[in-house]
Amino acid sequence: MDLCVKQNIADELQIDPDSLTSDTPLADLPYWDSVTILSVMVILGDATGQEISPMEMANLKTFGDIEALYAAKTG
Amino acid sequence: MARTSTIRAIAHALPAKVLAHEELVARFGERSLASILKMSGIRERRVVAPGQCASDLALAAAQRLLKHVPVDPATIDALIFASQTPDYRIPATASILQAKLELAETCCTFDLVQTCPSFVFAMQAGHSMVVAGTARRVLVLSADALTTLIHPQDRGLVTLHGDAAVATLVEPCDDGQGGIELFAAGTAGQHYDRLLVPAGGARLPASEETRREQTDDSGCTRTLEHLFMDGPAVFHFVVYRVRDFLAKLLKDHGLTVADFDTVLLHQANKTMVDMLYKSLGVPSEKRFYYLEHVGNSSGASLPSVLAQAWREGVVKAGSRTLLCSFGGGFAWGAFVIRWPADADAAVPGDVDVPPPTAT
Repeated sequence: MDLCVKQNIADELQIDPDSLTSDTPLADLPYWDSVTILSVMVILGDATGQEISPMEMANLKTFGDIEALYAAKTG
Repeated sequence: MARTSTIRAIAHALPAKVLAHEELVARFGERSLASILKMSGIRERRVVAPGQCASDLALAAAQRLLKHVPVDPATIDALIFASQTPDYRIPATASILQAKLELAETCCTFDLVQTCPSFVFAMQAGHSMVVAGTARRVLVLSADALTTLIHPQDRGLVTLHGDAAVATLVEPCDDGQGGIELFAAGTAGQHYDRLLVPAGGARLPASEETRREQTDDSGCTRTLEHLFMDGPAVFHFVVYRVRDFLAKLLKDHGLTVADFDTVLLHQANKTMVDMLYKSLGVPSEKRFYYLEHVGNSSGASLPSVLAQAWREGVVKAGSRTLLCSFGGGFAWGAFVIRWPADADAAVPGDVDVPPPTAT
């Protein structure tokens, strides 16, 4: 994942990007909530230029899932 | 019968009570509000006080409009009250307002229930009556007190919404003078449950069970009698579906953004509105915002934007405006108006409506 995108996501989650690993469960992050989900949806949409669906967002369980979604959208 | 109709005057009213950012910080904590403030662009909301109804705001807006515009209230042929928060389930609040405004008994009154796009549909109804010749003058009252349906511990919604009302006077427009040029609308009812109050209606009557508080995974608390919103689903609908609707509307009518002086959108939240503006290529000088200090006032939002845009001189006589709103249902709508050369729709004066006094 582009480091800038990871930084933007980390900023929304209000944590150090270095603390985010592929195994990090999103539900364990204190600021992974209905609003940051939207913010991450916007970040991913802007970064990839692709449509991000609510279902794709609902399927995100770990930070690795976010990385995989980003990779899938950027081909 | 008239060829078309126009908006002769538009006046909005806001409850005087303010729900400020600082109060929400005390309730939810600074850090948990940081992302909401950034996403929404909403710092303060105007909210009804206990005992204050949407119709009270509508009454105040209508009274200010009728004081400013020299029309005899007895010549208002129809009153449409567009709201999701009526005074009673029965009768129509429009009827109650007819009496309070001392309109003629020949006045046709009805409530129109829709979510945020209600102003567009109420305008379409009023416009149709004028063009059909069944009403010469229509008073559209858009009013929502949605904060009364939001749980105070639902961080995602209490931070967004405010309350407001707008009175819009619709009259015939002479040939060649401008007026409303087109309406367009859409519905995707299979998504009705993405933004709804589940209980309290006929489908799920209120009960002890529906009043039970539940806290979701993100820490937002509500009951089944409070508003629920699936944020990602609504966001996706607006950013993609409404974008496509507007793009098709422009294409179908041989129009581009360059044909408008202003494009006004429902003030759902700033990020969403900006994404929609950007996707349509609306330059900054054609945008207008009215949400930072008032909040998202649901059905009253789009007409509030229009009323304030007139007050600030952003919308002017002779100009052309595209208006669009969207919301639960999902439902969406838009209309285009070319303001007549002598149009002066702004209604000056204090928009604040104080809380009701104890009796």
